[in-house]
Amino acid sequence: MGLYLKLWGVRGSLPAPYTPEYLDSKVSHLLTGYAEQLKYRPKLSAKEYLDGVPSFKRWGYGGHTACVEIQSSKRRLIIDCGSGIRGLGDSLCLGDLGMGRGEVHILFTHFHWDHLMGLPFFAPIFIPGNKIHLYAVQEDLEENIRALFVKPRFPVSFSQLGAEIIFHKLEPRRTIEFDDINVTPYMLDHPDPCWGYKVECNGRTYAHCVDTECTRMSREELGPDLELYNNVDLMLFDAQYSFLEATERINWGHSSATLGIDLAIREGVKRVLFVHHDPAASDEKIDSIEAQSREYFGIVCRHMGENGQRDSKIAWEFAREGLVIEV
Amino acid sequence: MTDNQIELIHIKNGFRFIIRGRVDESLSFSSLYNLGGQYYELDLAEVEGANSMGLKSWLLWLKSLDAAVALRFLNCPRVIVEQLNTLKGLLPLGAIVDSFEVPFRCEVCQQEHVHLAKRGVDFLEEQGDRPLDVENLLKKDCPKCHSPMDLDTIPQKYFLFLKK
Repeated sequence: MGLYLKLWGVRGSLPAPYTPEYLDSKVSHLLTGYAEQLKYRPKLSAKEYLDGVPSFKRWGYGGHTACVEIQSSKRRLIIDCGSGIRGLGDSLCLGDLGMGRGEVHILFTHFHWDHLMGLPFFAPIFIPGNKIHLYAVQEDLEENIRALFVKPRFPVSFSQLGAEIIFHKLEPRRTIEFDDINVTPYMLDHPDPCWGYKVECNGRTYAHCVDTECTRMSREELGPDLELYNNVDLMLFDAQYSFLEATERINWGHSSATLGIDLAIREGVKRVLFVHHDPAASDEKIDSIEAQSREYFGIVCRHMGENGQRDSKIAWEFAREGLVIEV
Repeated sequence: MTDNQIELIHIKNGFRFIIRGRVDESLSFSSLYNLGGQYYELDLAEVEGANSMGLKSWLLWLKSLDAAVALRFLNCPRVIVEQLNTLKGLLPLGAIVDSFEVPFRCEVCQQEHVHLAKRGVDFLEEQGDRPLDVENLLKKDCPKCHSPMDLDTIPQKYFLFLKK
């Protein structure tokens, strides 16, 4: 078994649930489109029709905030506890964690609300017998976690949690082993300290680069953190904004897909998933940013070809919630 | 390949910036902040390429300029025109493109030619009630055989940056 990722939340800043009105309009569009197609292809099944609909029109990008599950043959790791972790917790409760015999390892990039808010709703944390290991580079990991379980913001206090919570301090740029997975934290560019992770397993590498504004762009500026991006098989990158928005929201801590594409081309990244979609952006808006990035990528590739450089072979997409991918 | 660099020349009421090489993360605009002046010309004839990292730094510098600064883009090569058309907002509001390269192809000579389109001669951007005018650009003759040439690009896409 290789290294697998599941994205349980791809929104940034704040959950962005679909409103009934939005869903009504989406379903209405789909049904109208299907009815139109049936005029020309009376035997077209609903499934065949839906399979031909662009994914953002069919199911959208999703509304939960940051949570990534990483699974190797021996170990499961979780990065960040955004609202997406609730669903992951429920699914983990079907196994050992549901019976109070499980252990789980969660790494934090930073403690902004959208990366933390799901932890009080992570069911395994309430079940006696479970061991929950929490990791971060930041010194104030324990302080930040304890602060989540304080009345009147949350009714259950930290001391009332059923599971045993174990805190681990990570060292910057020092690798930690989890059986067959090695993880190394590297600094990202964010208003509050934020650490990305390079995850290596059986020769495959994954770079978790969220949240980052990419203010250090050149290799020299990145210095000791350049290694995070170097020759990775899969990179998860912050694309909250369009190119123009990224130039307007300085020090907001987020980036755009075009910058991720440049970085990926330069550093030999093979595949990129763009996440941390703006909660204010509709699926259509996210799709239009993806289209603009696609056009930009086309221009870059053509010029590489014209200049005698090897055409970029990177594959990339704007990721949706629930996506499972092999690194 | 030219080294990435910016040459600064003092002109009346402002500066001309000659940008050479690639507009990428290695090109620094930091020394160009707070120069003062009311008239800036960006000569882009020697720009060989651009990526969004360099264009972000470029745009941040342009956005830092006083609103009263008159900004003109000169000799925009195709690589810049394409980015102006793709990365919305790259051309600041009020900035004027004075000249830019347009690719043509002569079917008689079987050769490509690049024509430097000049504002007021070959085109006028859309402004107020005035519509985009590129009529003169659509009827260029081959400099070698004088046969009419074909535009070697999609006009609706290539001239998009001249629209409001």
